[in-house]
Amino acid sequence: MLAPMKYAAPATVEEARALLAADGGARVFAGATDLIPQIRAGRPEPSMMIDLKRIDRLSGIARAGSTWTIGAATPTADIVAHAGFAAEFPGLAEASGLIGSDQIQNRCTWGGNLVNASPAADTPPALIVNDAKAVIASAGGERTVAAAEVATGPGATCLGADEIIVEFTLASPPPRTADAYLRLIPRTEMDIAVVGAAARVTLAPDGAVTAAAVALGAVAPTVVRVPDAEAALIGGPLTDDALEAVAQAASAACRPIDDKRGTVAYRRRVAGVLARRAVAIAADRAAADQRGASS
Amino acid sequence: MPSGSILGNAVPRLEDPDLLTGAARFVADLAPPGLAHAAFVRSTMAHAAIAGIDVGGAEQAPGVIGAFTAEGLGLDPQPFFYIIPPVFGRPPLAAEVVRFVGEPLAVVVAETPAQAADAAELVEVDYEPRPALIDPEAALEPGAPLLFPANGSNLASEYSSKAEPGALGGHDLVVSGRFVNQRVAAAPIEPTAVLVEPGAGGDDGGVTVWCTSQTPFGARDAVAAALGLDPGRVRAIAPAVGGGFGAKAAPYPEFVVTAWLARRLGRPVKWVETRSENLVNMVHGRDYVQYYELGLTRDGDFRWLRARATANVGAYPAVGAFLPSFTMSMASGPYQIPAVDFHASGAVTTTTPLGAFRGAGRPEATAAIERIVDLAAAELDMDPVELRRRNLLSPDQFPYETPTGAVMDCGDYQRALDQALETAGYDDLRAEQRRRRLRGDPKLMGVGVSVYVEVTGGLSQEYGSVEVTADGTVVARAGTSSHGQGHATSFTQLVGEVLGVPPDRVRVVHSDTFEVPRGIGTIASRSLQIAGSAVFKTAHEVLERARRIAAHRLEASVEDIVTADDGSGLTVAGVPARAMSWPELAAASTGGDLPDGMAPGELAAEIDFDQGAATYPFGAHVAVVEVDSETGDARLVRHVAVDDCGRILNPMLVRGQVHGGITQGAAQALYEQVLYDEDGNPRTANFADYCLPGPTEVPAYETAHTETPTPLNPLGAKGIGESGTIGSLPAVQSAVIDALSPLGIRHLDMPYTPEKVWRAITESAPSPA
Ligand SMILES: Cc1cc2nc3c(=O)[nH]c(=O)nc-3n(C[C@H](O)[C@H](O)[C@H](O)COP(=O)(O)OP(=O)(O)OC[C@H]3O[C@@H](n4cnc5c(N)ncnc54)[C@H](O)[C@@H]3O)c2cc1C
Repeated sequence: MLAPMKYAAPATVEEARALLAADGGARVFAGATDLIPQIRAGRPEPSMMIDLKRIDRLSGIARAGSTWTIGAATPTADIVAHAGFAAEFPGLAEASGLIGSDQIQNRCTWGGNLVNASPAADTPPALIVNDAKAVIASAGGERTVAAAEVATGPGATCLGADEIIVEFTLASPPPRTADAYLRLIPRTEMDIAVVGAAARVTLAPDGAVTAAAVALGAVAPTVVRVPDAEAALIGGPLTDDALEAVAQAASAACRPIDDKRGTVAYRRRVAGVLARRAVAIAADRAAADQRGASS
Repeated sequence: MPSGSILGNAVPRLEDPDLLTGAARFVADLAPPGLAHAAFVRSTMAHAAIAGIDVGGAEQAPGVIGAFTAEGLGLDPQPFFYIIPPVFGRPPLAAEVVRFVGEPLAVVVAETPAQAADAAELVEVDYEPRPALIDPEAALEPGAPLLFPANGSNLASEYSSKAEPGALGGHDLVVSGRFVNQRVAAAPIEPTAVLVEPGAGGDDGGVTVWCTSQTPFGARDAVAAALGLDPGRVRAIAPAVGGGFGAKAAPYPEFVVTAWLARRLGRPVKWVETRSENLVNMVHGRDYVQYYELGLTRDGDFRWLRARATANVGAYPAVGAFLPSFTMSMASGPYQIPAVDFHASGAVTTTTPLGAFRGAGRPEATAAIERIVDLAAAELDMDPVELRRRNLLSPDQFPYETPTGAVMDCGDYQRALDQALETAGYDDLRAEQRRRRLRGDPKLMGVGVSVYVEVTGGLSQEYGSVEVTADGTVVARAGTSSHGQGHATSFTQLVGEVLGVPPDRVRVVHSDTFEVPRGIGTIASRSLQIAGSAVFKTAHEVLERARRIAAHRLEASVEDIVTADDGSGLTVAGVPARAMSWPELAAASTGGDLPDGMAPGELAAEIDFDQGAATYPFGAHVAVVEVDSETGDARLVRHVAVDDCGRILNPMLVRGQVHGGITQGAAQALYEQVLYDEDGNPRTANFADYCLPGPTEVPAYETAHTETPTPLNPLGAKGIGESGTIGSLPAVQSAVIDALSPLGIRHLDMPYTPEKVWRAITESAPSPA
């Protein structure tokens, strides 16, 4: 049962880190949409809840030159609603807009989604195909880590006990580049991914794929990149054979488990189907990308 | 209905303003002074002897007022439903044995809900495990471990209707199937809750029980019986109740325990179930294994049906143990089947008790007969609609007694089917399906058709009264208990129709055993047809008395007395100035100057209206699904429902019932299933694991109605609360299987989760595409 607990709302990253460092039982939170349900389900209660949403630097969406900076505690509802961002990263916006419901999205964040390190989380595959970087505040200053490196296993991350993700950075995609994210759930919303698949594709003016990234969620302890799928795409046009190779490679790259949401065999199969479809959608979007039309 | 009538109008719900603004009060909202909070300690084992329970730690915890086990309570086992044999009596707190995960075995009372919940975790239970029993068929095998050794077996109930010897003949072929109608949770938005205050009215020794109930009189009787009180000393009130779907039909052990606690502690005590508790503690529905055989001619004429069913009634037989009787009476569905041989057994297992859930025995019957008819159509290579048409009962056959003993009042099944097919554009759907199959569309399209008949209002008697009070307010009382349906709106319409009074002059009183003298409650889609008829008839009696009084006082003939257009009272027709207001009429009714032969008395009437028998609503549904052949994901894309509930009083209320009903039936077909592991641990005790769909999972429904009034009550109304569920499930089920039929798939048990459908596709294809 949730009893009254200690709550702190620091105004700066330094204060938050000091609170964390001083109390081993303290936990930071952003939306708390993972943390509160976990406590209600019986996880130990933190001795203090440290609210990151009051720290200015952790909220907001900004573009400077070709770099986007997104505060780690920005609610995903803001990200979905940001037309400029969603135009450049439609797949990442899609993944962000799939989390829970409107109510959840008004609270939940990329930071929480990534640090909670659920294998089934929706935004990490999309962050990873876009090569997002996490800026982490540490005792010795700040360090930058690829989003792909943050989660190290279910519920485990590379963060030290007093480290906090401050923000994410993303490079504006080159012309004729787009991403896509698909997931399979039994319902249409409010459910946990059986499989998630993100893809990003860059096309040459002649339609040949010049860059590709494919990443899968819920099929291994952490997000799986599929280099074989990427290799099968790069250098040629997007043929049915290439798409079939993507599906095969994605199925082969999975290391899923049997659980109540799906068996190994099913997850493998669906990972292939969704990877193929996500690549096809990303390529369609890339082909329609107006920014590439003049080049 | 007469012209100018408000019957038949979509009058907006009078209940909604309070519900939408949060002014309506649910049990959980009530907080009388001195309130204490209870938390129950529940079994974590499916089946075990209780070697000991230590509440010492809980008693010492902050804020705890008391902690109790069965020993402290000293309450006898209760049947909790009137027909249950005493051998299956359920102790309000488990005493010696626990029989399902979630069974309450101790209770802690504290000053706050958090203190009670925290202290409940400190209670230590010493279990001696016994074998779990999950499968109802295995439970009836010889040598199965016994849940109630004194019963000698795990058989809790048995229903059978034998065909005449030699009657199962005359067929060219027999189709057969084993169908599982899986266990589902009612999952109302409001879980179970109870608040008991010591004292009832002026009676300090009584209790007032606020509870989430469809049958406050049943709750009253259960509490009274358990505490050894006269029922008149127990006031049971169901305030705003957030849905029940049958699962709030019978009282819960927690009602009795909380009442005991309130008396023992001399303070009000409240308990509110959590969602996870609700999913293991509230009765579940369905859970049948059915074996059906249909004998028919090559032309498609049904000759006989042989049905065998085993219901998994859970750890303590409750309402669910009795529902196979409905399945039996509805076994032949809307069809003429000359001979039916039916047998059903109810088996106890170490699972949550089985109760009534929307449809309660009829969806099980309808799903099975519709499934076997589809199998027969596939076997004969005949359009399933064509096969149904051949065998539907025709309107001139009513009243019709089925081979299993149901006497059906009236029906026109062909008409409902025709209208559903026309609305759906059935021929066009089949043409589109052919085109899509030809071009190898990876989205498999399926069309499913169901025709159903069901039974409502079998408990055919209910209390109702109408009274014109001194200030002219008309009070209508009913023994039923609305929990979302909108009875206040319908009964107000009925009173307004007869007495001409506007809605704000009518007060509907129900759901309180001190305000209504007697009643059964809101179950089996009975409220409008029986309680509504009681209100309607008594309103007419009140009108007749008032007209005679007015005629006498205004010196006019009774025939010339009519209701005033402005709702204020009665007037002489065509002479509005010669009038009596309702307050004047109420006063006159008790006074001295009355027509010859009329005794002074309140301007009121009451009745125990009895329609004598059940009514039989029916209809036809058409569902269209799309199945993603690569992932197995099945989606309902269209649903057409034509339901006939007799005469319609308020089409908006009917639409609400139909929409919710369709969703719950479609949900069982596509999404929902309560699961246990082999040790009897629940695997679906929250909404992440129990797949309850929301509005985004279903399309906008296309609903319509035929109206075939029943002759059994003055409104011509039949029940509509459950029809949607009964009709939709078989249509959706059929549509999914129809989508898969080109792969040679003829049957698949529900729910059609993506992985289950994908597996069926994969296993049917020589090499997975
Ligand atoms: C009803 C419901 C539906 C959901 N549906 C989905 C879904 O569809 N898809 C999905 O992926 N998830 C879903 N979730 C899970 C959850 O909403 C997401 O994981 C969300 O992104 C978590 O963000 P948050 O800010 O709320 O995290 P919090 O709960 O605040 O934090 C989660 C964890 O991250 C840590 N943390 C948070 N921010 C930081 C930071 N800046 N630096 C370091 N550590 C940090 C916290 O200490 C905690 O351990 C759902 C949850 C609910 C309750």
